[in-house]
Amino acid sequence: MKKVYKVLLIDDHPIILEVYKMAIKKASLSIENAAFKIETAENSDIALQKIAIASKSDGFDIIFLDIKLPPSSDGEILSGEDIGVEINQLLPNAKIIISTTFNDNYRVQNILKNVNPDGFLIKNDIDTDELVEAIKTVIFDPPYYSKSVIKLLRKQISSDYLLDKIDRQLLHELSIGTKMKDLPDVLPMSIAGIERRKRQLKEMFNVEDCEDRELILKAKEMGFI
Amino acid sequence: MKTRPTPNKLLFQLFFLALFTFSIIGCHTPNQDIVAKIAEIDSISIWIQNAKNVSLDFRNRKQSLYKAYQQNNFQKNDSVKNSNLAKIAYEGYELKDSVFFLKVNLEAQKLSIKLRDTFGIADTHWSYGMYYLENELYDSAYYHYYEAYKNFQGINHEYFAGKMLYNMAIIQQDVKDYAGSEILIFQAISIFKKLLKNDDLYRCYNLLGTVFKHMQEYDKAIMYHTKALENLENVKQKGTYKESSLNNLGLVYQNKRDYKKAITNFNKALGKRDLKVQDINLYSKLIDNLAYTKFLSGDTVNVLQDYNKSLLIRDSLGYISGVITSKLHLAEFYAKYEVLDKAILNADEAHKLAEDVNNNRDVLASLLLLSKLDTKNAPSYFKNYADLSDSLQIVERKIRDKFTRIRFETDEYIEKTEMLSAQKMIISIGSFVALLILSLLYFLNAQRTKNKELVFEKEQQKSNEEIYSLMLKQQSSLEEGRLKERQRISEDLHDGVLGKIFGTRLALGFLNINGDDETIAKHKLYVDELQNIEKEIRTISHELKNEILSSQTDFIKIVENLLEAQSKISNFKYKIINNNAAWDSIGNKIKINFYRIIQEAIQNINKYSKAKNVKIAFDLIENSVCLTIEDDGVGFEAGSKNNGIGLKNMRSRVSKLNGNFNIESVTDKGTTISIFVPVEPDNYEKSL
Repeated sequence: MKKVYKVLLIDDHPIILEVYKMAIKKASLSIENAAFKIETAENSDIALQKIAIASKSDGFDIIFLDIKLPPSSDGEILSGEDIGVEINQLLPNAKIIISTTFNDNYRVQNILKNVNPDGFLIKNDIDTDELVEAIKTVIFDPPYYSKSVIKLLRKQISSDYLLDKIDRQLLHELSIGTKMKDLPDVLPMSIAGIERRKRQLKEMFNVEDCEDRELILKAKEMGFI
Repeated sequence: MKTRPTPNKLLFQLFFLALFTFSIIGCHTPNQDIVAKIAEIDSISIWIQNAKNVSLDFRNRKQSLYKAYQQNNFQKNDSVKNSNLAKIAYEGYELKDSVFFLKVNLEAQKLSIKLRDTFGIADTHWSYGMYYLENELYDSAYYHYYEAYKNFQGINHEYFAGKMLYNMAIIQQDVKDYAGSEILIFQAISIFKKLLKNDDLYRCYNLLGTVFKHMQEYDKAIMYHTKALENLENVKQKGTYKESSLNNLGLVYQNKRDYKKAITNFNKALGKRDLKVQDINLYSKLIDNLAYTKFLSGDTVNVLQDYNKSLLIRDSLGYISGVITSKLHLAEFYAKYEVLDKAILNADEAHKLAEDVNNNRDVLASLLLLSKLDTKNAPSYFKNYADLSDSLQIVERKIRDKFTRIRFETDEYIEKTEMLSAQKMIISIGSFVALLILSLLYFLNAQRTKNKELVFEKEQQKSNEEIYSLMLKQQSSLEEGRLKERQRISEDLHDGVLGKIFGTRLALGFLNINGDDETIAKHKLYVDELQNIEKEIRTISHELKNEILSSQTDFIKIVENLLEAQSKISNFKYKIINNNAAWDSIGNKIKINFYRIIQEAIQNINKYSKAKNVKIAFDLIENSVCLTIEDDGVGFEAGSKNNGIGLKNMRSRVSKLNGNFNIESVTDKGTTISIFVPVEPDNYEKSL
């Protein structure tokens, strides 16, 4: 009896959807008694719709999720990350393979934390063989993390610093040049609180009395952003 | 008949003696010259002395005087020369050399005016007065005496001023302006009384007596003559003053028809021994007067004899006026005794003589007498008499008018001068007040301008800071825009392009390439190459993002811009070091002032220092921002004024920030400015 895997591919690039299909096809060749039923979604609206429908029937087994997606029409969903959270809620058994071009530590960490995907592919790390390998690993022995992700995790584990979410967010915001005065809008804190936190971070990274720049460079070096 | 008893000559001799003494005393000169000077003066004074010497003959004296004049021309000291000139002029007058006198006196006057020697000016006027009086040019004489009087008065020389008044009184008496004469004499008397000049007082009283006699106020005339005689008691050198006064007194009594008293006085005068020797003129006058009085009283004893005696003396002396008087008296005498031909003869002779010497008074008297005696020609004589009398009166009136005018003009002049000086006073007070007001206005205006300037400066400062604020804002928004743009490009590359290439690459990878091994290998190679391209793009994208981090803070950027522009002016190299200064947390106030201070310092460096390298460093030390501006220029001496304003500005800026300012400069080594400013702990306080 053939096992039918229901697959949902979410990506706004049609060519990538094609590639996923080819990869799955190739993978199916090496998996016995497996059939793949593939659906695609080119934007978050369609994706959400399909997820919602699937949640009421037999769901999806595997979902390829791109992080960089145009926002949904109602503005609720800003990225694939949000869809991932949604999937975790609606289809807790679905295996999510994040496939993204992002490789900045902060985002990767956030995604790992929020979505906890079974596969995490940094698009530029992989080639066709790896992609096929990833699909197989996710089906039989998840997780599959591509090289950059593994490197990042290793760096984090080896460092002594303990940063919470807000610390990371703060560092991230500073790194993209967000102004201090605008920070209270993105972080759930007052300016004073942000300042204090920043000073603590500087102490932690041993860059007291320096500008924020030093802090960011250090954080980057340590793999937090 | 001339009754002036005191010839001016004596006066002048006294005066010149005084003047001479003056000049001797006055010519103190430095020691080295003194001998030569004295010798020079001596030679001149010897010549003058010779000219004065009566025992020498007339020609000899004149020669001496000319020599003195010539010698004096070599005199270099102007004031000595001047006093000598005055002396020489006077001697010229004495020697009746009118051409010489006029020349020298004019010279003396000019020199006096040049030297502003008021006394000298007065002195020369005096000499002119004498000269013109001698020549009976009464108005000129009066004018010069008056000028002399004014000048003496001007230098407060009261004695000589009094003498001038006396001389003027004589002239006024001569032209029968008795009232005017009287006033002048009283003025002179008040001066002489004060100065206790008894002989001058005597002369004044004597003249006053004569004036009153002419005014036919005989009692007053007698009173003043008596006073003159009383005054004479105090005069040391009496000479024949007493006798002449007695003569005058006698004449008054004679006019009063008190013949007895007249005769007593004449006899009293004649009682003086040696009178004939001392003043033969007066002697002859007395004899004549006595005889005439006797004749008038009807006593004919010895009258004719005395007349002839007097006439003889007068004739021998060449005293023509006296001769005329004698002849007139004789004519009267003969007329009384009906010896008409002799009477007419004498009267006619008197008339002719009087006309010869131009003595109008005697001409008149002789004409009147002739008109009485010569019945045949009486009408013509009388007509002549009347005509002459009229014309004389007119002349005298004219002269009197002239005197009045001279005095009036002077009064007017004085009045005018007073008015002018009052005007001058008003003008000077007015101009002073105006000046005061003007300067006050100027001061007020200056103050207001200063205030305005201050206000303006303040406003400028404010707007400067606003501009700077705007500059910062603009700079930061510019930076922000730039960053956003970079971010956008970076994201576009990353998300869009990378994704697409990734898709394409994998799609290519999944293609089943049919062909030989070489083609498959090449295919793989190209796919790998695509992956490399992806990596490159990703790197570029990251670098674009990293620019955000490598980009400097706004403030440092602005300082950099400033230095970049300024360093081109004098071609220095610059270095900006930002050590740990967290500019985000530092207020705009500090940044603005730091910016201005740097600007000022760089300006100084450009202007004066000739620095090759400039280093600007920012440090955060404890809670202070520290700015250090270092150059390797020529430096300057502390306290030199050139950098004054710039340094003052910097200092004031730092003190506004409650900071510390320090400047060290070593000549030819460079200058270091260090500034510590406490960071306002606002942000930190709040965050803790």
